[in-house]
Amino acid sequence: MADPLEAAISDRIAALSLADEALAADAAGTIGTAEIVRRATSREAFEGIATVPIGALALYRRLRAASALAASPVAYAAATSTDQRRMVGEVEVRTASEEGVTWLILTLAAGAVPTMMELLAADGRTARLVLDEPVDGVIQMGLAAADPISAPAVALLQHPSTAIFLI
Amino acid sequence: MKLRYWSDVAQREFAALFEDRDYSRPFVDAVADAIIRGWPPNRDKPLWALALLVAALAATRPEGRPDPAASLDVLTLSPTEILHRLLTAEGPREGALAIHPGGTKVRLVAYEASLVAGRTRIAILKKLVEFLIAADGFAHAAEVMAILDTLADPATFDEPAFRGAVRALSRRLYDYRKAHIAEGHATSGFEYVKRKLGHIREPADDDLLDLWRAEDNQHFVTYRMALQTAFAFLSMRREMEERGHLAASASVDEPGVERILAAPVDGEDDAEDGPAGAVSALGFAPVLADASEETPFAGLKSSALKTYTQAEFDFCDLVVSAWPHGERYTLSLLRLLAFHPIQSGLSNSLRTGRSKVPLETRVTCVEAMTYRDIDARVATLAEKTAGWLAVGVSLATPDSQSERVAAIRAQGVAILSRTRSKSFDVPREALAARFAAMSEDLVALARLLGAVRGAIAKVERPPDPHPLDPTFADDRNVFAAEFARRYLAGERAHG
Repeated sequence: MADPLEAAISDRIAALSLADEALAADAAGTIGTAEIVRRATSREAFEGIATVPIGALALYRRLRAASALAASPVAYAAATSTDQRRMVGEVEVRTASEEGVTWLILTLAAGAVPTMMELLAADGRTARLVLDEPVDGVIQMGLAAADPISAPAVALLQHPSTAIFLI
Repeated sequence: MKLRYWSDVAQREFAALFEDRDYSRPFVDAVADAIIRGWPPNRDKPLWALALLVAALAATRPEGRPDPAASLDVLTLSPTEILHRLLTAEGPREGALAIHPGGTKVRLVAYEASLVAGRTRIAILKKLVEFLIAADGFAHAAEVMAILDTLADPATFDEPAFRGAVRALSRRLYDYRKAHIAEGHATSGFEYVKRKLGHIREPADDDLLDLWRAEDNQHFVTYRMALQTAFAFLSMRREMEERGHLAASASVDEPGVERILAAPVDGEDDAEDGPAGAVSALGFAPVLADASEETPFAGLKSSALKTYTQAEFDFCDLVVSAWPHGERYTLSLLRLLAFHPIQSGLSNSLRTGRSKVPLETRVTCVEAMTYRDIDARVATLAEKTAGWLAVGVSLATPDSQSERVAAIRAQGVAILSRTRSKSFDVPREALAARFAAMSEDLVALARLLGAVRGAIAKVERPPDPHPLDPTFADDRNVFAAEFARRYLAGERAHG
């Protein structure tokens, strides 16, 4: 018969060693749930592309949608092969491509004015664009293809499966 | 000799839980305990508690209507915000789920399960759910979120859903452990402790030290872990023997006896925790009840008032990690307080490759606090604590009823007048309220420090006197030799 103390002491060793070994090894780039939550609810701008782990994507999308003014999972109509038109909540979002520049046009409805757009690709890549002030209910911004800050966002924007959040 | 129990994945994922801010070591231990052992004697108790918490948060949403985002509250709200919502919201007082606010803690009840939770317990439950979601690279995040959704929706929250949720989450923790720990290693760790201590009735401090420094120690990297395992072994053994005596003397035919023997010996708050009858077969009393309840001094640490430095909290946390056993094993406690910070520094500098002090110097323990230093530090902390208590008195009792109170008041007023911390620049009423909120923790700390001082004083006295200075010098040689063997040899092998 196994010693009745065995299970209890093995458990104690397991718990103590988990804390000991983890603190000695550190997270080494592993992303925790708290970090996913922080990113998905933050309004901080960042440059370039951040990546959400695939497994955490659905959770990230839900959290982002819950804290956004409006969200749209996918485009319902592609105007051309690259240009998009879709409704994000009551905001119409269009892109128009010219050589070297992509125009982003948001036609706002009444209500809160978004200050940022977050783009979330199906593979977990995410980018944020700080929006200009609207003029007569319309935000129009030129995103230069050569601009290292906006270029990754443009690539995401042109893909119909990219989720768009207005925050 | 590479000692390890957990996989790389588990080490990183557990470490990632604590990246969002600084957490004390007792808190990290409490989270590991909740994941691995539950809240003894009930392994699933934290999961019952988590299920209750998610349901209660959904029932107290300010919008007052079901919302698909309800299950996210446990993730997005801070422990303070969660507690505030439960303490102030007009939640149900009866029915399937009942919420009873009370002071700084809330009591949640559903389907024979109940939970008393303060801020720290809520913080532990938050880490538990974060762990469940992120485990195995978020592979089970969808499954866990679906369970939370069921709990957070009044339309689906019923007894089978509640029990099913706990069972499914329990299964997740079980599978994780199975996949990531070298189980045989943990078992042989037990065999090792039993071999070393099993035959000794009352082990001495040196027996506990030997557990770590012995040639055949393949199980404990840190002295701290060896000591804590030894303490767990000794108290569980005593617990079992006491139960054994009771069982032997009671009549087997007495129907109530077995139930009484199996009942948890638990804190008041805990007495009704957990589902009825879900006591584990052994019914161990929580050997480290502190780990599952509020971590000590939570009120002092979370207060806006800066009463103690981080270094002072760290010191007290280390004392608490070996208390109350440290009262009987005071020399072991002194060794922990003096040399654990050195070992912790060694493993940090090996991990980061950075060190203020060269490794070769650090292993010699020149940085270690002497036992005399530790004694002085405890005295200083005790004095400081008495001072804060006096400040509390001076704020709470404007009129002195007696000479003694007047003297304490005067002391408090004097301390307050020379306190320069900006955190004290608040109106008198606010200051008084903050001191009142800390008073229980201050009294607990004062008691602890008093007991530690008494215990250290006994070390130097008969029947087994260990004068502090020569004992420290001897111990430093022992630890220095052991650190050199473990950390310098490894360096050379890598270099």
